[in-house]
Amino acid sequence: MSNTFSLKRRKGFEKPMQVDTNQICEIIEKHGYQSSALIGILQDIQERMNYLPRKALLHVSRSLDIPLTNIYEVATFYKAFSLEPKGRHTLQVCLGTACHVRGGARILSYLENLLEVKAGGTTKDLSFTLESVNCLGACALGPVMVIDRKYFGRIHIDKIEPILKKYRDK
Amino acid sequence: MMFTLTINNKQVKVRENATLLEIIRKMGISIPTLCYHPDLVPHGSCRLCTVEVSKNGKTRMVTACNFPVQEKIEVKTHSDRVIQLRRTLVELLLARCPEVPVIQNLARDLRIEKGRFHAPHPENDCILCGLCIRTCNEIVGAHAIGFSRRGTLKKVGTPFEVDSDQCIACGACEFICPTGAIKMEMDRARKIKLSGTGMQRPCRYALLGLVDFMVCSNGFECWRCEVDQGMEDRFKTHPAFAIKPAKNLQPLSVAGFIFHPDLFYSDEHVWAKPMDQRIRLGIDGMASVLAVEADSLILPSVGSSLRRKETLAEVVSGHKRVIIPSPLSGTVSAVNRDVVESPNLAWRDPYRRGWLVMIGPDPSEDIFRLYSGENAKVWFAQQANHLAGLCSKRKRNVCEGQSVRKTVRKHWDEFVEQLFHQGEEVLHGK
Amino acid sequence: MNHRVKTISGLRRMRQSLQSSRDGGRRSLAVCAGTGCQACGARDVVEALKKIHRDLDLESKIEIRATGCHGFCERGPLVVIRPEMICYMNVKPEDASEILTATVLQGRVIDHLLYEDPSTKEKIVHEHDIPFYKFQRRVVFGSNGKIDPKEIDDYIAIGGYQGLEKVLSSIKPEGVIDIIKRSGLRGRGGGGFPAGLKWETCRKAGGREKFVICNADEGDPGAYMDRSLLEGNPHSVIEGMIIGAYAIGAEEGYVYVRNEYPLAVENLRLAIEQAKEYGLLGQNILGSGLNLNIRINRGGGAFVCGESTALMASLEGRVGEPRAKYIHTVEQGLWDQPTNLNNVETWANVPIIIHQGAEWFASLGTEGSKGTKIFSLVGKINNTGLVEVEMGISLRKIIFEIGGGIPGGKRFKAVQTGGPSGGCLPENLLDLPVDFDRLQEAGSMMGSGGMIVMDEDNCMVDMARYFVRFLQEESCGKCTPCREGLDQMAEILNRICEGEGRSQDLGLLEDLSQTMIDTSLCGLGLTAPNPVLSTLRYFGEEYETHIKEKKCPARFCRELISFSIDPEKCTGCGACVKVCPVEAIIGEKKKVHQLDEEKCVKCRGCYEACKFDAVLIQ
Repeated sequence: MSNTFSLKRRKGFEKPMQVDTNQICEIIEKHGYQSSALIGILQDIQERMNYLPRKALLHVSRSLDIPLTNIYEVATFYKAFSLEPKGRHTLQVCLGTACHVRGGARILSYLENLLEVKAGGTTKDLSFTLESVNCLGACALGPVMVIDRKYFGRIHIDKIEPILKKYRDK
Repeated sequence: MMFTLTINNKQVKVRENATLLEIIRKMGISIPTLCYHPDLVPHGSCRLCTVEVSKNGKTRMVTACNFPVQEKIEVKTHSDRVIQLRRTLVELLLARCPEVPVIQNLARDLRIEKGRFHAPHPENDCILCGLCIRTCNEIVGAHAIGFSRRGTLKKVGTPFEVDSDQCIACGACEFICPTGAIKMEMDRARKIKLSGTGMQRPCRYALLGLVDFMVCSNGFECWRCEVDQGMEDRFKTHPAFAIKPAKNLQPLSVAGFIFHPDLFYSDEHVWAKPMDQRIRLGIDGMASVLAVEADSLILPSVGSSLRRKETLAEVVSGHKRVIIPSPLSGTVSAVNRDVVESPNLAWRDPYRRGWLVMIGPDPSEDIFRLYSGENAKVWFAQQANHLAGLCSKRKRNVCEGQSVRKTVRKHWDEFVEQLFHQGEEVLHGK
Repeated sequence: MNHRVKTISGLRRMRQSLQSSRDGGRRSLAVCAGTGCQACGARDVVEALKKIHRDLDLESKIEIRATGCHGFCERGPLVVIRPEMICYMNVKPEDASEILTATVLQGRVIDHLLYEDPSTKEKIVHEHDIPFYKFQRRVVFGSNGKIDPKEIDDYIAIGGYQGLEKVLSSIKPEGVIDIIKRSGLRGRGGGGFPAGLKWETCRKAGGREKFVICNADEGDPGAYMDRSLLEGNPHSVIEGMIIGAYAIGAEEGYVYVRNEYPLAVENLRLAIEQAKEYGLLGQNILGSGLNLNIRINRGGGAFVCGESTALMASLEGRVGEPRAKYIHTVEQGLWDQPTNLNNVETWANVPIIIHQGAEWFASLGTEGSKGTKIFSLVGKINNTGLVEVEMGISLRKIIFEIGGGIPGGKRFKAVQTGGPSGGCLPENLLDLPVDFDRLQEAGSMMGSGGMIVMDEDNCMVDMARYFVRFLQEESCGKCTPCREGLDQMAEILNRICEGEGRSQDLGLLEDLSQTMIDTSLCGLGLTAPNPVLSTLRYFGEEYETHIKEKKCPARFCRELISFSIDPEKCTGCGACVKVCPVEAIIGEKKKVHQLDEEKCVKCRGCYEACKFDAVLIQ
């Protein structure tokens, strides 16, 4: 079976960010050293570092005495986590049912074409990570696109480029 | 308690905590399983052991491997409906792994000539039964492999799909794998040898705890090793399975007091668990009953230094209070906020969420001084029985339901006396 | 300052003083600031209103409140002026000064911000006269428009925590359970299990500790009522949970909420903090001896975590894999201790039942389904939004009277209820009353209350494929039938949609569905075939047409349609050229355009952009 994470690529990716163990310690402290808070800890690491660096996971594993296998399982099971650095902006396209019947999938495939990445991927210049999400609960506005938690409702294909332009340079 | 039930129209009497699969197999009825192993916690994922169970006129399909038996149920292991389901399941597995002999044989047994489903990856040979992972976790205790991702993309592997330094190369996963998906790489053994660190690497049986410390002298080519041959002859199975009881990680209850293996215990009724460079401390299953109605729990502050025999915690319950001394010295590096906020958490979940503090131990501290392993179990059982004896001659479950509050209120002084002042006498005197 | 209320009567006195300081006749202006309206700029409207409010010094005349969702998301941002209930829609920041000067100061209604009846063109002033609101019964959801969710005092002033007061002062835990049982409240999360019975089993179960959990992992695509409740009225959920914890004997509570709902998390966090400050959470609540701490856990993004055992595994910090439920979670749930899990809407119903009485609640609804239910009415519908209706109302009434029918004069085709576990119901079932059991008989389910309306342009095979693909992505992958079954199901549906379907495929789908229903480990797998089975049952001929004639009757499935431009109708406006992502349409301005079928990716962009119906689909 194909190996989706090639080792070389990930190593290359890890360079730009030095993993600061103090930050991780702080996050674990905030969650009261409870191993049941693993998901919350990973969420905070993801939020702060934009992805889950391997070193960070090793650190969590050691400090909370949770086997790395469990952490890796959690980190790859939930959609919120990424083991590779994400773009500066997260671009989500809602594919909930309401958005689906109003053409959400078309918005996504348009963006995939435009940004030259598949859903879940990050553009080469690291400016955007394109994601599909299952219902953001803004069904009245469908189809919905969200950039960094800002909602763009009733989105039309011809409205997309100008919006992206504003973010690309930021 | 015994239950009476009917299996394929035959009445049987069985123990209360038996699972259906054990009984069915004991009766000589054969039903297929792929994810079951008697030494492992049932996973219930392959679903092949699905049987039909009727009770009070209601029929449902259950998996025999993890279905707890009930009184007066009627079980059918080979009804038309069951067979039909089993066939479709095997067809689905056949579409996943068309080349795997175990699945092919199952298909043949169920007279499936050609699966109706498309097989997109015929080279696939892992059915995700999880036997290897559970063996690695529950029996070997190495936690080297696990699942990753989910749904269709789920797979088995090491974290980050690189060589795991947790793997002790014991080969138990390869042994248990029903499809031959896991293979020990002999090349890998040579790589370890060449890597330099390899020469200090202990033998896999040493890592399993089966022999005393032994460094490999055969360059990790186990097939040339006498010890290896000897082990195989001795156990007639993979040695990892032979040592299973020693690695039993399930908590157990002594007269209602919970005991967790794998922890260190002290006469002060404090448990200790080394974590990275720190030690987590909490009160054990016996002392924790004193916190059942605690109003507050006073702990040392972060950064303070704690000496052995000094106060680790003070439990205040009404106008009663008790001081729990620390078994170790060190600097307090973390305090459990949850247990301070809701003090009876130390009673509700003493070993997990209800820990007390974490300390950076003094270099002179030796945690091995405390009870551990079999010693701990013996010590705990003795103490727990004694404690239970204080409130009831029959040493019944003291911690049950609402009565525990009453018991603790009534016997508070005796409990405190027993737990904190006579520890050593009891142990050595009897 | 210490706000802690130490006794039950203290809370009562506090409410009285709050109520008298906010005399009832005072005018207030509520701006909906739910996620939907915020996305349409509600925050800017609030800011603009507040600025002018300050500038004109209107402090004594009116108070301005940013509230949670009012429900009519289609027309947001919404502004409601009390006590008259003047309702303005699609309000923009520029309208702020007119609203305050004309309406508030001069008492003049602003025409262009009013709701206009699409058929009669009549303007409607008052909220309760607008058809969207007129036929609703807003028992749970109604308070959303009255309170600022960030202010606990607002909730207390409208009678909040009265239920808790009543319970702690005069009802035994068993009595509370009895009330819930008599009310007939059934779980709003999907299964519709009687809540009182669940509480009772949990209370009677042994164990060292017990838990109450609020399931706010609203994963059903197209359902967002739980989010709106948490955002708009978090204290009602908290109050419900405290009452539940008292009845069951739990000391710890968890709210498992989707991380995709940042505003809900924020408002809930604030609400818990405030409740703690007031002594409504924590140790010795209102001096009653009751202890309860509530924590928020944010979900990691997994639909399967809506399943109770998976949710509990996730709370313990593990992957959200369900386990066998031969021993129920009310006996062995979180940390193997008795655990009572209900969803947001169920908890929010509890204080109301306690306050208004079981008999009152039981008088609402049908024989088997009591009370009201909030639905999110979305899809191809004029009035998208959240609607709360009495159980037993017909689907037709919801869709055509409250929802205002299908936009663009299209024909209604189906309504999908119950999310990915539910089914699609056709036109001839529109008179079906909304009721747990009746929906189930029809092959769908109540679910958490998503109601997705589809018109003639939606292909039902594609809908089935959509749901199966959704579940395929969301399956945890633990058990064979769900993991492999969904995979195969997706493949079969895909080939039908692509015109490669085989005659035996329908039988195979049914066989597969039965196996999944009988052998799947958890609810996700065993309800997964519902979208397929219900579309097969009611729209079987659509499948047949796909397979036999290789045609999609709805002209939706990409592989079975082709696009062209009608030279008779094309005006050369260039609208289609602009939207085409692959430059398949060429043509000069004002001249008939041409579509290159080789290049066309069939995205339908041109079809929807064309105002002259000149783009043809065959």
